[in-house]
Amino acid sequence: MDANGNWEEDDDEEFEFSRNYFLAKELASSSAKKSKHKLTDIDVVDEQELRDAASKIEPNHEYEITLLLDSYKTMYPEWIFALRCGFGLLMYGFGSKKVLIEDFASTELTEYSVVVINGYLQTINLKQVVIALAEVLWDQMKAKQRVSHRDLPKSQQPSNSQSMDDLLTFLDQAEIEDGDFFVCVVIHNIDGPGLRDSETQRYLARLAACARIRVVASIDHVNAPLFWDKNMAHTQFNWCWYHVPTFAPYKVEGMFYPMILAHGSASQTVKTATIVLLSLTRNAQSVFKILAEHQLSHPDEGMPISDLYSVCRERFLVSSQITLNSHLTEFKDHELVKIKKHSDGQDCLHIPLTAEALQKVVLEIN
Amino acid sequence: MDEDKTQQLPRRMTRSSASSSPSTSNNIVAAKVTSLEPLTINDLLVGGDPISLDDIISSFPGRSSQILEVVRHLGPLNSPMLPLFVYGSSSTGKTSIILQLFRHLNRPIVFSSCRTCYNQNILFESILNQLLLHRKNAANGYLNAKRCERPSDFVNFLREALTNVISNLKEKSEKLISNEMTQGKIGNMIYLVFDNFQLVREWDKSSTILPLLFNLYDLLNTPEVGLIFISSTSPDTFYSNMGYVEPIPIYFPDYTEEDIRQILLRNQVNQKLYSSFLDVSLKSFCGITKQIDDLSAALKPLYEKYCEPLSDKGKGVAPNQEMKRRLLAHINPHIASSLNEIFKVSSLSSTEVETRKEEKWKGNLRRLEQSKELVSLDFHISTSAKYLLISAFLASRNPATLDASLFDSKGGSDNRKRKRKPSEKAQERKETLEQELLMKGPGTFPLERLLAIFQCLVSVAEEPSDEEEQNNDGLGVEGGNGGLMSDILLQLSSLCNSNFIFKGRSCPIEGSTRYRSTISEDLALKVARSLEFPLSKYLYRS
Repeated sequence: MDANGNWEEDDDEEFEFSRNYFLAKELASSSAKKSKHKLTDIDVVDEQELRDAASKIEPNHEYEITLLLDSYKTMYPEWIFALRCGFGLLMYGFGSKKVLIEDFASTELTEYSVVVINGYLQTINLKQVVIALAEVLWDQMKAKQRVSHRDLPKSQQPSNSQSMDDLLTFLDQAEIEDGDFFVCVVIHNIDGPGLRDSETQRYLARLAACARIRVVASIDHVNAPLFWDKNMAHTQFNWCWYHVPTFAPYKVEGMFYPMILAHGSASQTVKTATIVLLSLTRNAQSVFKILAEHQLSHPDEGMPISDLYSVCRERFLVSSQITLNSHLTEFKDHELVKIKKHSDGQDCLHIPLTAEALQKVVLEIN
Repeated sequence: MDEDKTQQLPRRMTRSSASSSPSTSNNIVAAKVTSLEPLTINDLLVGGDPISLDDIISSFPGRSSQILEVVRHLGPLNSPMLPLFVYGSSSTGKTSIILQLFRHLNRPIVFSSCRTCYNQNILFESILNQLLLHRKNAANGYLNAKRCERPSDFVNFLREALTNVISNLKEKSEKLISNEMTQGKIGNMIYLVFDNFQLVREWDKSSTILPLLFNLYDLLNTPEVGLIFISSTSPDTFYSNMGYVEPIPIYFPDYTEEDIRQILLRNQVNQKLYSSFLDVSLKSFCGITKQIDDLSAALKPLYEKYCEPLSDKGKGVAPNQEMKRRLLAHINPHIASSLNEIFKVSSLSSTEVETRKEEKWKGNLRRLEQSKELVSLDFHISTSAKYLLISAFLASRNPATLDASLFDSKGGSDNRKRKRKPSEKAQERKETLEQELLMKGPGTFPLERLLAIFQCLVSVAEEPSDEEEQNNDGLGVEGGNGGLMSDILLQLSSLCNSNFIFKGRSCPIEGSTRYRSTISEDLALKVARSLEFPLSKYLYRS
């Protein structure tokens, strides 16, 4: 308390982050006692019951939030002007910005084609998005009579067989007479789980750098700028940063995350399984991979434990049955595997995931 | 002079043969380029003038036992042979001797380098192109003779092609016998030579290509086919869990100093002068490397320097004792500097020539370089990126337990006051611990620690005005530096892309990514000096 009294207010504010970090580290290392409560002690309910209870929560300060959203409407002309000048809009702040961006698009972008990417989804096929954009530009080129009948066979109609580089090159070099024409790409949660690998971010940056493409995106993660370096952020995306806190709950975005308090849901998601597996040892990941590959190649039957033990021994992943049992117990605790009785009475291991989800998990832990 | 020309020919031929694309090169290169005649069975020969075994042995000093061993395993004409595995370090003459021996023996070979054929498809197609006497040209659309991607296709095509080649060789042999001509015999054998074979180990994760090539002897089961593998690594580095006929290993040891002397003396105009030059320089250079290529390249400019005092540049004068002493005094200052540049591909080659013309020493040039380095950094980054780099260096270098005392100004002063003088034993233990930390290399740190250290360093520095800070729109941490955070994260990504900082996992958001600084202490000191930042004050010392 005496030391606290000596601190000046300026120093206090300036060093807040670093002091909190260092103090937390010191406390974490010094204090040895930990909480003895477990998550399994909580009485869990069915998922549907939990969702019903969540939907009945009444929000506070509805009037103030409505005023805040209305005040953002006055910024719409500025945003559309920035888009016309070639900038990309990046919305950040507390609360879901999906309703705000969709309202902006439906009121101000009626003259333009708009393609929406929901980044909060678990899997996104970016190539289909680029193909859709290329088709919009292709139709625009044909409508403006820019391409004569003689030139038509030379330039190729966008299709799925083209590579991503060809599609992006076409988008960048499409010649359109209308100088003000552009296609707007709205990306909800550009830092969402479906867009987090670096290759996807590089493709999005190249897409934003095309002459006829404008991007309106939102971020929610505090460290989202780590996806981009200076060239991507300032040259390719050419972000204009807008702080637009809405304080609206993340209803749609949160739908795709597993509820911790829910009773065991029907199937684990890719994200939960990936998080659990990445925290295990490398050998445990390899054991799970053997099980996953077997299930992908034999969809109907599970893998007998004796077969799994043989393969793991061959690949030097486990040295004894006890070691393998400890891995399997870990998997069972996290509901990654289930044990079924085979028709001949043998215990078989089964992963309660779809084949598509299982392939994604195997890719993630590689 | 004629003898020198004759001896020079195999060296030049050998190098061009070894380094050419997988097809064997011919002596009639000009005719090949102009006429582009269809390939015949004779194109499988190494070509060139006939050469005797004694010429080969004298061309390769120190290799007579290996040459005779290979000849013994190849055997007389039409002898079946077991696969050979020729191995040794680089520049020990493996490829050259094999090619010269086949030139001497005048037998057809199919030569493939696993460096130019860098995957299994290209290797397969190269071998089949040679066996089928196929040349890619505009007529056939530059396609291969056969398209095969699977090993089973390759084995079938190979067996078919080898059967045809062997039939042609037998017909040719019968014609020669009927004509009673014995000089042009090439026999019925065909030899497959795989050079740079050690590269095959990295081609395929499942390692199907390696057992296939080693099993060719069993798969083809043809006595008219010989297999020769040339590798720079030993046979036990080729792991395979399948059985195969063990190739006979033939080891090419490194050249001794006397061998190197004899090799370098060949093709020299003035043998005595060059010999006296080697007396003063060869021992020093052999201590660094024994590779003929490196030694030859390093000694060539030094020999020119050695001959400068002579009026005729070393053409015909035999040196006497007085001249040797004078030349030795002249060359001695240059030997040490030349030793340091053996493995450097210097960008100063043009400047070097000018320096020599201006009669200046390279030592002066190096001193200029060193003084230049101390003055400024070689690259430009923003001020906050420099602080970020220093923060990353400190986070990697210092233990995390010292953060509170080093970077928290209040706590630091308290600790400094309460510090006691350590005992001698504790001092030694601290020094040992410091040495261990240095030897282990940089540690990893989480993003939060980097940002905390960065915030402390920036606040300690005076007037942190920066161009990027004019950007008021930024992702702000509540109560922290409002406009700085997103720029810092962007600069961190840029430093990771520039390989100044190593990032642990591809996704920077999910999980806890750990970072590591890759810069050396010298570079960190340069960056700190450009900022006038007292880096040594924050480094962990005993």
